[in-house]
Amino acid sequence: MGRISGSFRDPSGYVFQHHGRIFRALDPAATQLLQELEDRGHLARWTQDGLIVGTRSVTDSSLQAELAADHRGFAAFLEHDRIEPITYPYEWSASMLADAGRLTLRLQGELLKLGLALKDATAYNIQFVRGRPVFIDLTSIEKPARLDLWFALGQFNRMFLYPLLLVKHAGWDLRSYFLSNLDGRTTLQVGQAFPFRKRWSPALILDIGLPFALEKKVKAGKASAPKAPAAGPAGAPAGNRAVQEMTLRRLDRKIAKLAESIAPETVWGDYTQTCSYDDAAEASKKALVREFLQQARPASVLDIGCNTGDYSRIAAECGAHVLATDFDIGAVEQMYRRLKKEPAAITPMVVDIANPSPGIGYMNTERPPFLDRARPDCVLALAVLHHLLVGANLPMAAARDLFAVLAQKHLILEFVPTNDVMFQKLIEFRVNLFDHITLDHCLEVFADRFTLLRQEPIQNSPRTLLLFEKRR
Amino acid sequence: MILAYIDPGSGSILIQVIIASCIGGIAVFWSKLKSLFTRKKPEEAKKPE
Repeated sequence: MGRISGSFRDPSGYVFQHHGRIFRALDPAATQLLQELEDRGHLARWTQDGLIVGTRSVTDSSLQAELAADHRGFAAFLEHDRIEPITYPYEWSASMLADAGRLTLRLQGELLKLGLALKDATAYNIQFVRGRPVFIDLTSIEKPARLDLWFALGQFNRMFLYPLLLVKHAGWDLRSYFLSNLDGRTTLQVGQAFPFRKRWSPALILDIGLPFALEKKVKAGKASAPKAPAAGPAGAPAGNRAVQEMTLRRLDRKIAKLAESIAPETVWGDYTQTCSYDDAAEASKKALVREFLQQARPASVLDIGCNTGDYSRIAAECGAHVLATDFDIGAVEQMYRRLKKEPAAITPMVVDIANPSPGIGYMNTERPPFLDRARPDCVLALAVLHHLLVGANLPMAAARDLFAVLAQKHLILEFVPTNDVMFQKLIEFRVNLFDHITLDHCLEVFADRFTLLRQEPIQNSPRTLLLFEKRR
Repeated sequence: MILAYIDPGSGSILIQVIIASCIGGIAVFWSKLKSLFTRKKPEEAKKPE
């Protein structure tokens, strides 16, 4: 069947893999709705505009019959472009979440013009392709009962607005916001994070102050959900859409402003300005990385500790799809902002490689763990080994095993010796347990799982660049 | 009664209803105010808001 493990909540269809291609099964109601959108050219236009993932209906009759035989009860199917790798909101920077939210609002606005709506507004309906968000869950489109209200607005707030407000005003990070709750945090939880005067300030009154107060009343049984007429005469949606359009515009402006105002504070964000090597060393390192990548010819690269993405760009220029990760949110934010201006085949992601995202949701498989989603041909680990050894206290063999699990074919590793300035900075105030960390020790330990292909010193620096091939 | 596929969040729905009715109220008020100062033409009076 190849059903995608996170695709089961909505009874109107689900996503599955078939010979490496991605399809979506549709029930009759969804088929009719989406067929109409395709016939009127909307799906093609939205794909063109980068609103939705590349989508077409399955028209080939033998393929259709094959899929229908495999998926009983379903007769109509869509094919989607394959997106790799899949990322989740707890791995995004603030601007990524903001752009995903603004894309959701844009699509909702487009649908509203056609008298349609999104029935949910979860951040998991968005994926990033070449650094741009796209909407993937087409069965989320429905004919709503009303046009003046958006029933998914509450979820939109829980998924996009509240986390951004908490990042901005209360020092939260998206990982802690999203990992513990698939649907974000409730208005009651979020409201408590703000003091009374802040809740009722002009900036928050409409989105937190009033909803918080109303929800408390509902909880206390002093108010109930409104008994508005569900639909107009003859099943036509009721209400004036201009009211909802106003809300969508207001939210879009608010989120854009919020993202703009969350300054990327970073541990390593100014690393490229303050790092230890000079121009000659950097040029030498860049040339060597390019040379090694051209030798390994990977289709996909995982850049661990990508910082602002200089080396990810080199890998993308060498023809690879790059998953660029860093534990530093500010660095990923800066990389993403640059990616928006200069698009490349790079997917940015906030991941602490020593504590990567776990599997969450139903059976812990609904949102698979990072290690199941990242299976690159080549791992690029530049200036990261000493962080694992010192920062995370991993033994050399543990670091080796981590790289061996991730890399399918090659590993490009930068070895930083203990006398390097950056290494010395790391072990400041630390008991010195690191004297045994030498290049020879590293080569000896890595030899258990990898074959050394190249070993080149980086000019004007005590560091060495290594190219390994994983042992079969 | 409002029935949604996901938890709509009672506060979010209520605030939208309040905003919608406020805007409705303002629109009615505005049209009444306008009708005080403008002469009614039959086709304009019939026009929906």
